[in-house]
Amino acid sequence: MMELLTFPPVFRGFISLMAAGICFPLTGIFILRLNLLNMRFMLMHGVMLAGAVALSFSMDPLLTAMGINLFLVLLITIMSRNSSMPTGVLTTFFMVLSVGVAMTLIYRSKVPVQDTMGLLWGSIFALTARDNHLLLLFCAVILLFVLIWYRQIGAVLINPETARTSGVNEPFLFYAIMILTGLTIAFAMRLVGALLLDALVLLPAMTAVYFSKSMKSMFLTASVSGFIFSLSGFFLALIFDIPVSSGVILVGGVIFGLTFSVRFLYEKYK
Amino acid sequence: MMPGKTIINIENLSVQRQGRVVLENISLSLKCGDTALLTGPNGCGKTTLLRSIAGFLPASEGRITLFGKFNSSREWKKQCHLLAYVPQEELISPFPVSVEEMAAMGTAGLKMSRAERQKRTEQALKDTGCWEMRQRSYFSLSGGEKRRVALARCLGQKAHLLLLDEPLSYLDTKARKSFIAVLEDIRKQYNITILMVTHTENELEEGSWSRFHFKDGLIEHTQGVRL
Repeated sequence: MMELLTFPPVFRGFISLMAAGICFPLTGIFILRLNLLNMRFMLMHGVMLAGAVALSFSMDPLLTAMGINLFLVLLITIMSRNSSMPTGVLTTFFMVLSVGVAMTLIYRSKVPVQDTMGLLWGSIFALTARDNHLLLLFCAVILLFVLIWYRQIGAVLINPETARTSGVNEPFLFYAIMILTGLTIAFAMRLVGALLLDALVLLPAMTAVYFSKSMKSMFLTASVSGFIFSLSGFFLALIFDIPVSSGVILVGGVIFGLTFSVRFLYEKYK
Repeated sequence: MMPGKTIINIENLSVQRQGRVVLENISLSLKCGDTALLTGPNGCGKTTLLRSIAGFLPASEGRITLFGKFNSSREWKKQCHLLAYVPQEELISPFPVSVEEMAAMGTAGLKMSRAERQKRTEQALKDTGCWEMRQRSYFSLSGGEKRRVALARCLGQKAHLLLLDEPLSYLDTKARKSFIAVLEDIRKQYNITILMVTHTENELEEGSWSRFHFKDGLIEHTQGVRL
């Protein structure tokens, strides 16, 4: 089985998945804590729009997805911070708009619908060497962001207002968090697809939030869980000949379910 | 801080929220070391006033000066850590954070060495009686303990002005007394200016607090009342 790793697409996929497994759950913590679940859903539709744009105009799907998600996330953040309009309303509006524009493009440019939908599945083995480099660079950016601004990020996640009064540059960190979230969704869609993206981004973060008592242990647990889910899911997929994304979500789901049950029983009968 | 220096100066402040006038033509002034209560019926604008002072809500008219600088100016933003704001609930939804981490948040925006940060946090936790519980999860604390951790955050920040929004609400008598004892201690030790929204007055030290009472859109000021 290990000889499969000698094939460049498999090796690239493996390296990308491990890097994403370690770093993407850190963004998952931002999504959970800042209640960006709606935003993430809208960004998934943004990637679908990017697919339609990329196929219609023969553009690179990953770069287009990154560009469109970046645009959407900045637009919504600026609008929500400078008006009294709730973020939920804005994300729903742009989600519907993205699908509408995507469908119009697909119809007008006669792109086969299944090609656009195919982008929603993602595949770690379809990554090009450039995609792989971009992903590794992006993972390094997430890690550095968390390491350099760890305390300030913590203050913003706890309470943005008290963070501001303690001298934290809250607007900068909030925009940075939103940008990283937008790009994470774009990369995760390419890696594991829309349907299983949460296995890579949210499940390890949920595990960490649920089982940690301090912020430091939460960030560490999220990264370690993401790495374990990805590594085990990858080899499970190779052994049982199933999609890697399914392998990751199966491992993550089972581990989360087991630990949740053990803790539930412990708290009930201790 | 220099005694006698004006810390807060509010002139003819009006604030609107979603088209409704919440505060109208409010004026108030506090000097270094002053301690004052904001009292009044629910919905009269006490929290709005605190949030306006902290710079979270813009004034529709009038101005707020903190330590001699307008609270919306760039100059103030560079030294905004001199003010610490304690909301009614510091952390609403569950989130894994230890007591020590929570207290250290006060130093998050300040440039200093790791050792200095640890020293400040340790001193703040000791001053507020939270040192023994520093390893505990913040969410396992009682209401009174959480309020003391919030004070530790403010002390770590070395704030000279505390804005406290109903810190005594939902606390039993013992927890209220414990919080007030800590507050009086740090007030005397660090000469901090305090503006506190409260409904509970009679457990504070006699004569040491003044009161601003909201009544029919106006503020009545009483010095050295039995508080």
